[in-house]
Amino acid sequence: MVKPEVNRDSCLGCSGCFTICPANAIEFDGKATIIKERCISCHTCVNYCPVGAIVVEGE
Amino acid sequence: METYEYDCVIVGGGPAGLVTARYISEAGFSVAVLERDREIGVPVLCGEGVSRNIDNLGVTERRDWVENEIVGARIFSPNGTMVKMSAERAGGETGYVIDRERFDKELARIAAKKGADIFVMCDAKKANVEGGEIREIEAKLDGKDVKFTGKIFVGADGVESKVGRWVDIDTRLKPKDIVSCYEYTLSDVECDKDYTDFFVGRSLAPGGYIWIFPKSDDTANVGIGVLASYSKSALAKQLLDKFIEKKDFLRKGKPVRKLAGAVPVALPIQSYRGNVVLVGDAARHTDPLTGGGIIHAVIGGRVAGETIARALREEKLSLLEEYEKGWREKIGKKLERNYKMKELASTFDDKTFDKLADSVKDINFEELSTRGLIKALVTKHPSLLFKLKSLIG
Repeated sequence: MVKPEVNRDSCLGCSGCFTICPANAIEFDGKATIIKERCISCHTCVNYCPVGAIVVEGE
Repeated sequence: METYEYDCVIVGGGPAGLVTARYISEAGFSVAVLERDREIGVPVLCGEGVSRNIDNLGVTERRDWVENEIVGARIFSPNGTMVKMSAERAGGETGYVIDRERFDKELARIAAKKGADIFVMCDAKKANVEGGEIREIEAKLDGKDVKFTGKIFVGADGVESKVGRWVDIDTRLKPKDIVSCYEYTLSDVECDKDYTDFFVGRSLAPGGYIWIFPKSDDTANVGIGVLASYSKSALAKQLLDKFIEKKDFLRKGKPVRKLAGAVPVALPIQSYRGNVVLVGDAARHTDPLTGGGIIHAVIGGRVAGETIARALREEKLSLLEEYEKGWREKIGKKLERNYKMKELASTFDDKTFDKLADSVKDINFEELSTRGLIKALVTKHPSLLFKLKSLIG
């Protein structure tokens, strides 16, 4: 599966993806960033995001 | 690197952190509050509904944060059946619609007046931990590297609680224990400013609800929470937009604010370890049924502040266990009961919500008791009793 990315322009900074990520693969500094090396491609963060700011390329 | 020394260092300048700070400084100890953002209370990440119980907690002096006084709550089931409750009964989020920015700034003003130091634009980056205790926190203050040392540290850093993780408290949440929220503040709407409205339904807001919290007769917070286990990318926003589009009194509204929020609807986690204490959303003290967090943050913050002051006075970290006992005594039972109710309600289909609403719509909620509820269910929809049996008794 493809690793998702955060569109930081549409991220509203709720921090939910950071909290829900089972792999500790998200950094949060007011907005989210996905650390690709740790991402397990489970897409839990993609489904969580209330505004669709976490996107999977090609989808 | 510049180093600041305090008795207690609190990460997070929301209600939980500010109330904790106030009670520590009132007891004569030095305390710092580190706030990542450049302003207390901003950005707002909240529906801004709070129960009138806030008045009994004695944490504010000014009242300019009350935007609108609410008479009651109306809950609408999927087929439009309305259940009306007075503000006293509805609890949780009914009573006032508040201006969270002003509310937090009032808590900050009082904490500061009592002697607490508040550092805004101060992002706590990492902790140096020895033997399970935090020794110092490295932070960026105005973009410069600084250190904060302390005897006790507090994680008041919200749903994401990094402070908890620094001492190996697992603050991750499973999808069934976190709600994905989106909200507009809409102006130029027509709303009944006497009521906060809640709309429930599996297709409307799976595992959560849509709310309308009026700030005045032409401006309201209109938001949605969707349980993450039912969420898909952007679902919260899509369902809220669909709801607004269908309501004549909201459709013409203009958004003057957009916000997203993550709300823990979990059981509380371990609230202290070593020299670290977690308060508010960080400790998962949010009401799992309503998603309301302010009252519990304030109650827990006071217990934390008073307990930390005692631990500092007697120089005994083991006293921090009194914090866990203290908040459990005040809000523990309610959190557990409402967690059960949330687990159950998240399985309801639209028909169950309709039957439930039909059963209780004529009850005078001033007099509602468990017995009265059972009687109403037996009379109208006995099949519901089976579904609700885990809550009864």
